[in-house]
Amino acid sequence: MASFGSENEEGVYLNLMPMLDIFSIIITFLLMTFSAEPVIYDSDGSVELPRSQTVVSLSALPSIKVTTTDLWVEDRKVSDIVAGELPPENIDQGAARPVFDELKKMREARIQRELNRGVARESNDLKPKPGVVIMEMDKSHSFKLMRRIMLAAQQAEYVTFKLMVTKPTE
Amino acid sequence: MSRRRRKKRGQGTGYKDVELNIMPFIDVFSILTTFLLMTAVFSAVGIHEVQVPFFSNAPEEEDKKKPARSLLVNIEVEVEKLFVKAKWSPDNAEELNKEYVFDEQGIQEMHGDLVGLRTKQPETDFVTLYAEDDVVFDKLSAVLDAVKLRGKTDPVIPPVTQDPAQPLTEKQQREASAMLYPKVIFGSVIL
Repeated sequence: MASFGSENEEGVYLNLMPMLDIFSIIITFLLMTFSAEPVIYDSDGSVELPRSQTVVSLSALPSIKVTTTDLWVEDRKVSDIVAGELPPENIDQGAARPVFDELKKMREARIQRELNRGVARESNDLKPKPGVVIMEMDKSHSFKLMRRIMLAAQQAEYVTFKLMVTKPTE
Repeated sequence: MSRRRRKKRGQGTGYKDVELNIMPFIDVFSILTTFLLMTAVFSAVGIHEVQVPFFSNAPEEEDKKKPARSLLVNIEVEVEKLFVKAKWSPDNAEELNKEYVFDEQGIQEMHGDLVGLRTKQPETDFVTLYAEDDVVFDKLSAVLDAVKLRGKTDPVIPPVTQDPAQPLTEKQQREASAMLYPKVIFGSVIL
């Protein structure tokens, strides 16, 4: 084994080419899988989304998040989730009452904003079109829970739901 | 070996070894790799757009292009079974009434039948979906994939525009051609 300082040593020549090859391959792979989504949504780590082949991307809208333990509307926790179901006190006529309350508040705030901006001036304009919400829901939840939340949103006049799923990268 | 070759080349000719300094190159590569690894999204987020029934007291818009006969497609999702029921309106004539096992093969079979229905009546661009309470979101998502998305081998269904004076944009056309039934209504979400 050659040691440093011996007289007939030629010097250590580090061949960097294999490292460059690896770097090139990694960069090519990363650039090919790089996804530039129009909207970056900070997905909750405790929510596992179902896989899908969908081609539609996300847009900026109010969101409802349903983890295995909590129910959130935007950044506000509105209820617990116990064994995949809402506590009985948060259910009103089959709907998730806290979701209705929050969305109604958001809708009223939206109407007020439009009034302030002068978008809606006439009395007919005061009632904007039915709203759209993003729903981030754990894949293990049942349709029963989804229905309760959708029902509450429907009562607050949010009738279109964008259900979040994971899609293959392009 | 390369060192020996360089030595030979340089002997007595006045040439000096030319060493390419690849260190800045490696630095750039390292930074680029780090940046890409930190910002990479390996599973992109997509959406399934669905609607729930909504009753409005606003007067119904007169639709001159509305076909005289339309096909109503209902899908029922149970834990282990799927049903597709298609009827013509207004005469209530049955077009399809079929049961499928709720597995991968059953979903594909259902998708094939839905392609047939959409090809037969391209004007009908929505289905009404009724799901049992026990069906989990993961399985519902698989059904939505089969209902909403056009497969690679499926025939292209040209988008039907309500108003010919306002043609679809390129993006709308692209999205429409990727869809089988773009509109899904959750019929069971009702008080």
